[in-house]
Amino acid sequence: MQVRQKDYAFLVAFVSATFLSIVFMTVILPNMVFQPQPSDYVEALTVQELRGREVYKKEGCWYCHTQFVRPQDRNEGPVALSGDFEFKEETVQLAKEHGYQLVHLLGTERTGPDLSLIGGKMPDAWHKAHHANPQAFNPGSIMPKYNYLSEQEMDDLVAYLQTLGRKKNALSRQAHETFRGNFNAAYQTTTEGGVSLGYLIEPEVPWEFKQFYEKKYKNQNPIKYENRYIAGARGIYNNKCAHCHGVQGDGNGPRALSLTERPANFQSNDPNMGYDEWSDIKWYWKIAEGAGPGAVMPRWNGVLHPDQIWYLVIYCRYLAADRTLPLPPRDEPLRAPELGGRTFHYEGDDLVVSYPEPPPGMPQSDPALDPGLTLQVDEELAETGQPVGAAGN
Amino acid sequence: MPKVKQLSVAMYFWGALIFLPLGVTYGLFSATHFIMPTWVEGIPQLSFGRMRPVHIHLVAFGWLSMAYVGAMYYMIPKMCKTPLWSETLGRWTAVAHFGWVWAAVICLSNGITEAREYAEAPWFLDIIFLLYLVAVAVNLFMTIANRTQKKLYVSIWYFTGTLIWFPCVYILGNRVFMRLDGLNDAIANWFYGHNILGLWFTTVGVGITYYLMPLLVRRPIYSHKLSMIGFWAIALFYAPTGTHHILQSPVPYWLKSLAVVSSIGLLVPVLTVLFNFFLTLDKKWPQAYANYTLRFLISGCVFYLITCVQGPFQATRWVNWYIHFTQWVVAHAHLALLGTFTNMSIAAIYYIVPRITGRPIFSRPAMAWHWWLTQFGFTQFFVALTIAGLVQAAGWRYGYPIVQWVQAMYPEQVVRWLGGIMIVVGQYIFAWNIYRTFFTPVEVEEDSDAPVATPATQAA
Repeated sequence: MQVRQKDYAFLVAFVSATFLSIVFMTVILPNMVFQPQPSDYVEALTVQELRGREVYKKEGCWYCHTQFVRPQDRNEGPVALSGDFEFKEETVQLAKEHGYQLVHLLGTERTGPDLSLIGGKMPDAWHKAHHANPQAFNPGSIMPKYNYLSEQEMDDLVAYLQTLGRKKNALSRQAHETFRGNFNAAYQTTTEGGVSLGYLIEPEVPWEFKQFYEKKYKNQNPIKYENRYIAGARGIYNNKCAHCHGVQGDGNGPRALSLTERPANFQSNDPNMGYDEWSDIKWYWKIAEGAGPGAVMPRWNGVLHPDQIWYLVIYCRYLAADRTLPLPPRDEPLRAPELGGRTFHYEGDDLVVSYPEPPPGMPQSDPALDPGLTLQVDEELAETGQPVGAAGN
Repeated sequence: MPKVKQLSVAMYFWGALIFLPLGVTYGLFSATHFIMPTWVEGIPQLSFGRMRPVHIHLVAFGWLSMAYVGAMYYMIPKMCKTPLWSETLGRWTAVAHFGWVWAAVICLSNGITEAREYAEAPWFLDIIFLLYLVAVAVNLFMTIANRTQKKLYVSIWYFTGTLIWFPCVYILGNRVFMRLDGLNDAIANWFYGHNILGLWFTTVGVGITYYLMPLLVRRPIYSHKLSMIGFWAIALFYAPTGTHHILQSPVPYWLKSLAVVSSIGLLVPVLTVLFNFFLTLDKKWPQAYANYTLRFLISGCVFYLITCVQGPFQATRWVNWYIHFTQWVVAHAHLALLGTFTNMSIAAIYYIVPRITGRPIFSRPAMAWHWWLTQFGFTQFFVALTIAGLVQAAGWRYGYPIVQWVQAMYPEQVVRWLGGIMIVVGQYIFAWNIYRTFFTPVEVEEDSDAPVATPATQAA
């Protein structure tokens, strides 16, 4: 049977035309009008770094690690700019000479941290050891062990990782350090050397700070500066903070060795730091919002209950200011708030902590119940919650 | 060697049935990395970063693509009432496809990759695949051109459209001939990454369902006009959506808006197509009790509904901000490729194999086990990963350290892994069943050819 083929030709032609117009709109037109210039943070890669990029591609690092922060995320540091993903001319030349094809490595899923700002945060040796055995550094990590990489490949890979966001990190850290003494000024500065800091969305007053002030606390620490509460806070501090800041708060924790920027030493005599003069609210803000862009310290807001942060505040003040209050001995079971069982409720502005009955067999170690552990406390200090010498806010 | 009517189709199905169990096994091994990160040490070929692309290539380009081309080789001649233009070419393309997938798997296992998602195969394999696609398209176009059936059934529209745009999508995505830097590379990558799903897996899968649904329920398709609306809406709306994968990156704002709008516009083709299918099924649902082929097809349609309501929802800007980069997206991708199109392809194989071998499917209990294991395992898998994604998203939203939410996802990952085991066992049963159908020397009376399309379906 002879059939007409005209219908079919129409179908083929019409489908092709529709499809090609859409291709023009979504692929060719963007490529014509969207030609971002390389931003200031783009660096020319050396031959070794390009080799490292190949290792990064080969091992599929980009399946779990993205290379673009989400602009809406406050805790991810400076936002990515269009020009960050371009390559400078000499890099392209270099890549061509060595036969490398440049591929975007934005990534697709984030099972591990975003790497766009990893450069310069950890020393090379840390990266190498971490690749060989991630679980040794981060016990819960699910990163595979890349111990099969050769020495050369490992060096190349680390060299490449150190280029990611290095400039941006350096600039934002510089801005941060410039204003270290005056943290309000640091967070009010929107740009420093052209750096657009992810934190600084609102130019006048940082909105987190503003929002924080509007909360019920109003610069009132509900936890009294008393030795029993300080002893209770020790557990949180040792769990969360002592890895970097050290048990004594001197910035010499075991993890501090692997950080390029040393964690804060609360006992420092540096007048620019002045930790012993920090107000409660300043401590709280620093702990809740992290150490700032480019730094390793995370935001503890949301991880810790606000009351737990208040406990940390008095413990940090204890480490920074006097360290004179005799605390219960270490072999006493700690009544750390995060050990559970205790309840909080507010009476007016006072936070009242109720401890549960200790299970049978446990020593009666609650300092509130054990007069032997209640030591002499400065009355004024216990009343006001302000240690001697600490500036009020 | 069994006597089969069309050896090219059988060859495609044999290849697909090697890649399906292998591919899901690779997926299971990859998932094992999430609960036992150190379960293999010192074997580069089995590290997660290399198993993942191999899993994708085995499942997407090995299993689904081979099943699709095999189904098209069977269905297009039936619908045109003419033999395949060149059976010899058909067999050679089957061999080429099989060899291509193995070559890609070997390259990717050994770290030879382009590092573009879904397009990891190195450039020389891209060129081979492109030539292969052209050969398949020529074979099928010539079959349609030589047809003796005057009217073109809607499945032919879908297959024709696919064979025109899929090679274009492939060449644009793999960029064998051009160079783009930085974010333009990402834009083109996600144009490809989403359209390989939208303009290859979806359109062929829907075409297969349009073919099978009227035959299995023995009733004409509900509305031919609706199916035409669905076809043109897919052709218009699918292509610009890819950029919704990089909504959080600094690509042009207008392009992101276009992607979001057209993602929501995808509801039009999806709902018309599903409306059509479900109304064809109207009052015929009880047939699915006895007919496992129909069950697989309906399962595919149901998962298609979930996929395509979820897709536009999560492409909107704020939902995307919350769930992007999380395991939710992995669950969604499996919903499309495993839940929907794998089920449709399984239905096609269960339908076609008895018709080219002249024997019924070897074991009905095995079909039942396959159905239950696949659907149960997949539902468990999907729900667990979706919850894991929400845990992960909440972890970011509230600024938890990463290792904490990685740990928090552990129970969901275990449940996902158990669901994965059920899926894998089901697919091995499937492959075993079909091989026994082909190769067990039992002679049964020949099944008569089912009608191609009932008269009402041909009223274009």
